[in-house]
Amino acid sequence: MIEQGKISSLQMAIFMYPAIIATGVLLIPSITAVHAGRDMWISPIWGSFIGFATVYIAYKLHTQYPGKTVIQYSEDILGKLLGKMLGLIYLLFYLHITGIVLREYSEFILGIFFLHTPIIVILGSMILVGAFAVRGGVEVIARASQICTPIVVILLLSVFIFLSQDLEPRYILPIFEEGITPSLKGALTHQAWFSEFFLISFFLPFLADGEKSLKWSFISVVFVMLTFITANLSALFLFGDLTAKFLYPLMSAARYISIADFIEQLESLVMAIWVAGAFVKLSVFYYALSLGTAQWLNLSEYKSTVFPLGILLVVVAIWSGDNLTEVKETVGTLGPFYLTSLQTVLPLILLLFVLVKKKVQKGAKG
Amino acid sequence: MSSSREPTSRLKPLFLLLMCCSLLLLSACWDRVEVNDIVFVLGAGLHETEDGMIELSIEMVLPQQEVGADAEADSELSTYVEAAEGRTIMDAIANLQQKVPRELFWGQMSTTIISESLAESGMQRAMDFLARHPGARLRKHIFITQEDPVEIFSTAPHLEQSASDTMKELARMQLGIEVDILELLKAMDEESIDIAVPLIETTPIGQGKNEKQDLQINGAAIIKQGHMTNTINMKATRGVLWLKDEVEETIVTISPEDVEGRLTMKMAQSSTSFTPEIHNGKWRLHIYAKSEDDIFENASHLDPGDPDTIAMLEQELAAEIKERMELALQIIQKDIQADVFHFGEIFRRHYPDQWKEAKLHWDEIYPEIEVNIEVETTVNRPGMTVEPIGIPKGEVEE
Repeated sequence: MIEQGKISSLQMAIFMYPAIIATGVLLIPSITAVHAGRDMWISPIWGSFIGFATVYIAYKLHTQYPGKTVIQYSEDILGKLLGKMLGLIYLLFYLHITGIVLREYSEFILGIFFLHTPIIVILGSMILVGAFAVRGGVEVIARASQICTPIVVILLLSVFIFLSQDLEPRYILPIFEEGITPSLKGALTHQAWFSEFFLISFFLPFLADGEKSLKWSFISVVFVMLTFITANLSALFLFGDLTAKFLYPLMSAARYISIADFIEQLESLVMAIWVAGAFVKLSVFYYALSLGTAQWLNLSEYKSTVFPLGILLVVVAIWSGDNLTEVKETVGTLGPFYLTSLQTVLPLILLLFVLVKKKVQKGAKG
Repeated sequence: MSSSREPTSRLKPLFLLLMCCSLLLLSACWDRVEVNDIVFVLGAGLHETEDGMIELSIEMVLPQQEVGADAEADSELSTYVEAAEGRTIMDAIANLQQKVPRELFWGQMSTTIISESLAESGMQRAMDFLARHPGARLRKHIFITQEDPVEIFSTAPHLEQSASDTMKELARMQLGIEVDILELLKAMDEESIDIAVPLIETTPIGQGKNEKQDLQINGAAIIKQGHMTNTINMKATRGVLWLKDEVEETIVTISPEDVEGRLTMKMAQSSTSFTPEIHNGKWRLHIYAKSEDDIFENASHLDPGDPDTIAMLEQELAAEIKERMELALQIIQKDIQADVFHFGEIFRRHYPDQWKEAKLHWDEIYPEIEVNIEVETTVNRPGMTVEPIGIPKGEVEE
């Protein structure tokens, strides 16, 4: 096996949490608010169904082919040629998605703090840190996120707590003003983020305690859902119907915090959440990409793929859109279908195929 | 694996050297801001000139002087006022920057003043910029002035460090309305919501050659669907505060019938709650206000040590508060017909189905809403003395 490290299920749950919420918590509230309005806090609950389904599918596939990632078992399931093609689709997909993640990260930093810095510097510096983590292997990513995740959680909580005095819970009413449809429409964006849980299929083979993996993955999905609900609720309670007008509602909310004229201008907290969270998210995606590439090419180790892919990622990040509006448009309209079809629907088809094949083989034997 | 590592270890010194060289790059940070190169903007004023240009005036302070001013309380006025015109706000900022040798830093801004001319022609022109600018903060106080914002900033504050600070503190006293950018944005986003914004004006203080200009809040401007339409005086503003459930500290003076003299009470706590009702197509709103007060001044002949007197005072107080609210309702709901109190929101929360239809012709329904006001008051404590002081014992009414 080209990855020697072993991690625990808990560690996997810890890095999957920021891998989903890091970009989601900042970008989703305003996208959801456009469709769901005051029901925006219900959308993560609908979205999480996709999360649970994706985890379950990835886990089931893993139990059929233990010790193998999706790149490897797609060959076993579909045969050499079709399997390789599917593997290539996944690699290109993750290359694209990781590029978009990288771009989102940079756009936020450039748009709010570093107005004059060239984008290539921000992209390059982040991918360099990510590359070091990925070269360190799965254990390094797990431990780095054990440090980063608590920081992200504590800072997020402190933003919510500091905001509490300005929140107006009356905005929660009326619930289901236009029926259930708006909240379902809002959930489209959420389920795209939840489908990213399919990344666990790249990590399941390296778990030391595989029997707990399903439980911990589900717990991770639950926490992601709770975080999204809290983020959406605080945006809603602070901004009301105005949430949809803000690009990064949580950022604007953090800036609004003022306690006793002393604790104020807390955008640095959001910045810390963003950088720490985006780092974990990027490392996880980047690792899956590097490992998958090495497995697809049947290399003896994956480290040699890291830097070349890094350069490619920077390029993809720049290509992913001419400007922020275009990137946001891609994520908001294409994302829900693109991400879910590859990370939930396609694996589901694979799983059904395997189960049917097994049954047919069993029938032939008997 | 080990063979691939070997060249790395041989190149290690070179690698370290390269890493050290990369430190040099750190000095070329594109977005560094030196405190010597900036000037803090404390407040900004927006004004529309007669030929449709936007005049931006700012009050600014140099960073070092702000530190110095803290050290010496009696330091001289250290703020500067500058103004420039432009077609858009950003254009005006660019023109203003040409007059200021340091870069304007917006992060510390606390107040924004909008002149009557701009507010009347449309708040939208100012609001979008205030929300979009990356340095924008939503917790900035907004004022409207009927004068030129430059004059407001040019006043010489005698207690605070700057005119902007004075306004910030005045707003915080909550004797008048306090509105920040977020609240204004919310109001402008919803078609059915209007808003009252405090009016600021200059007022002379001191006499003879010591005469200076200072600031005061005097009533409020009513913004109706993005345009300023009317102003209301301070008396009506107090009623607005009650109806918005924003009263925190207020003083009520009552002069009960058949009693000589007046009593003044200070409110300790208050709350206002709203219960909407749609009955047979008739829209009704029940307002229930509760207030707890202490007696602060007794210039009457009443003895507040007597429970009956307190009960009578409570009734008088309730009537007075009700009158304040009714006055505000008469002016704003009936005359100006602006939904400053977010009645539409209240109905939307409780009657979402009826609201969907009603919001299309809300301007017809709103003035017709029947409002019932009920006030309950408690006079908690008579203050530090019981019987009125300075009145001969025989004259105190039992």
